[in-house]
Amino acid sequence: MPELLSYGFMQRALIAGVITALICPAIGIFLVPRRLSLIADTLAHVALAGVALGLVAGVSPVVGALVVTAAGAVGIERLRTRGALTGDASLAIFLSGGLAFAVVLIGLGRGFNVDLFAVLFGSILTVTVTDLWMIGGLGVVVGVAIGLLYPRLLAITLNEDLARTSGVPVAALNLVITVLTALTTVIAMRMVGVLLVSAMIVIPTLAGFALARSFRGALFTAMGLAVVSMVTGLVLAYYLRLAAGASVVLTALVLFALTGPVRRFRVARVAAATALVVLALGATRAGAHPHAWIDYTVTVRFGADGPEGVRVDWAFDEMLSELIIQKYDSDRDGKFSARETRALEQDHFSRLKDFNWFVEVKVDGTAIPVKDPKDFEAQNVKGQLHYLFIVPIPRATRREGTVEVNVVDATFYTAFTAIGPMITAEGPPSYRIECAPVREAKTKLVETLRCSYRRR
Amino acid sequence: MSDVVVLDHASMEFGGARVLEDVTFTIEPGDFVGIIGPNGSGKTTLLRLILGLLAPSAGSIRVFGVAPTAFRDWRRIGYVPQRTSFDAALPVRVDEVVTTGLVASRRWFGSGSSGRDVVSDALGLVGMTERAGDRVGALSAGQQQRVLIARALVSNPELLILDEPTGGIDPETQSSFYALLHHLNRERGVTLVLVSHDIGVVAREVTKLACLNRRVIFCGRPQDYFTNDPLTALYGTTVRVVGHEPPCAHA
Repeated sequence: MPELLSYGFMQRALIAGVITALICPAIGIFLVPRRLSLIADTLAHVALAGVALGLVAGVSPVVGALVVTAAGAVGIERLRTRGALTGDASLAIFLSGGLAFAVVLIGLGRGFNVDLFAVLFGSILTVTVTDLWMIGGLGVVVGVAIGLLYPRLLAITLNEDLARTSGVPVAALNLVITVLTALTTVIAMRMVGVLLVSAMIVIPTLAGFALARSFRGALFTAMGLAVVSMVTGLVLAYYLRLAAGASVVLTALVLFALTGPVRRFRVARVAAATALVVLALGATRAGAHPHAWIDYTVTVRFGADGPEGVRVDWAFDEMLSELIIQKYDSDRDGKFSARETRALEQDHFSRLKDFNWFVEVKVDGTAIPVKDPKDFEAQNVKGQLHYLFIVPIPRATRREGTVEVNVVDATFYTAFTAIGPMITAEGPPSYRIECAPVREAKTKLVETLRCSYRRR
Repeated sequence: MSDVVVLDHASMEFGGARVLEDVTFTIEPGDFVGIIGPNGSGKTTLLRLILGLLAPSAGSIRVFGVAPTAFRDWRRIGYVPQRTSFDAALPVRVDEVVTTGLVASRRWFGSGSSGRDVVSDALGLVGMTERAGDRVGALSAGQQQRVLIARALVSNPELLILDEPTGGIDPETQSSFYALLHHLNRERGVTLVLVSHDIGVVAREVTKLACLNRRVIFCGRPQDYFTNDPLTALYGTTVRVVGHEPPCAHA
């Protein structure tokens, strides 16, 4: 078995990806011939507003996206059928409107911890088991609906008037297609992100149309090409360390340029070659955006003579957690034994010495050297990897002052996010200690984490 | 047997513009009705009203005794639209197109048979059996039209409605087409409604002629029509009727 298949995150990514790849062209084949290719793009922007609304309202972003996207789908279909606006005009209104709502809501909810990058570009490699159930469930709904309705949907796609005079309830089924598109969009958004959803729906469909000799054949060809693009894109992303969603879409584009109706044009061959070069160069350009996400909290420890050390707790993202746990929990008991911890410390933790473990500590305004952190401990908390360690503060008798802590990766390889109370303190009651994040006055962004102390 | 289509003082307006005014006539079982009239006389609108694609702004319409907008038994009606062009880039096979004429008789759930036999029967009627597996986009205009007729016939309808079916088709294909209509009407008892510009052929084939210019100007047997000189009233000028036979003129 190739190494990548042994990782749970990769298995989940592949399962979710294949489901997505099967569903997207199945809906796209009924959209593209009717000049509705951009409806998925529009619904994805509406879904972004749903994600933001879900976060503001305190419900799951996925639920928010589902509800708002389905409502948007109904709205678009109503505008379209009433003839109040032509198809593309109503799409433009919903697309920009959805985006504007999303931007405002995200602005309002600055406090919450939106990983906007993941929403915009997908985060296929962090698919959880819960996500998988959701994607599978939605996929079954969309797949079964299309399977049952296929003859009627085909009739509508060929000619709506003819379908109506053959007894097809055209208005109702158009609504069904639009709502199914909304569900598909929410699934695909999780995989390839808001900005790339329509690519998954449109590109394989076009290639299917170009290759097949029948409508049914086009459907199956498109599904096949989408699955090939998805799996190839994911494998490339894994080995070349590329953004997964984008490399899936680029792979689909390469396939389309090679097989599609545009293949006679030189520009298509140039585009395909460019996409290949971009994929190939990906490995060397991999440092441009975060590859690891770590949530952290900081605790300042006080002794009889003042601050003694800073205890840092890192919680790794799912993908990195899985990679490291898989590799270092040799006996697979879900815990790190003393020996396993030692191996992990030597192989991984100690190497972060060059980066001073990404921690900066200032005591009374003066930076202290961060070296030789103590008490390294690795924990497996329900599949999430934690590193705990203490940065010692040189002994001195201090009556009052401040301890300031920053955790940051200047190379942006790792995105650090302070969570919960961010900074707390523990120690004897002989000190009065107040801890809080210090925010920049205008932007409210956290500048540093600070504890002020004074001996009683 | 009850009437197939009854129009009772039906009128249609689009944004204040009267397209059809006070149209009253009846189509009986076995009729072969020809509807003629100049461009913009409301012929297509009339068909769309009968098909329930539009609702009349005044008056009433009954198809098989039911208002078309409430009509459900669509197997009884076949419709061949005016020059529906297929997107040539779309890979749809001839038999796939014809099969869509059967959706009304399909159960919603469960696969059901795709009606392979009736599809090939319908293609046989229009002489397209051999092209069943071809892409529709690759066919000529005349062949595409025959596919649409097969699609309309596949549900074995009692009423067949055709909107300018011979547009863009060469004369030879046209005559075999009219032979097909003749066969359907006389041998199979299908009621036909045909909208056409081809006055000569229409006059020869149909059993009932309706001349339309927003209003029904004439309705009756075609032979009565040509003795009364209503074409001038219809077209507002002297019209020469041209058929494929030696042309006959009417002042």
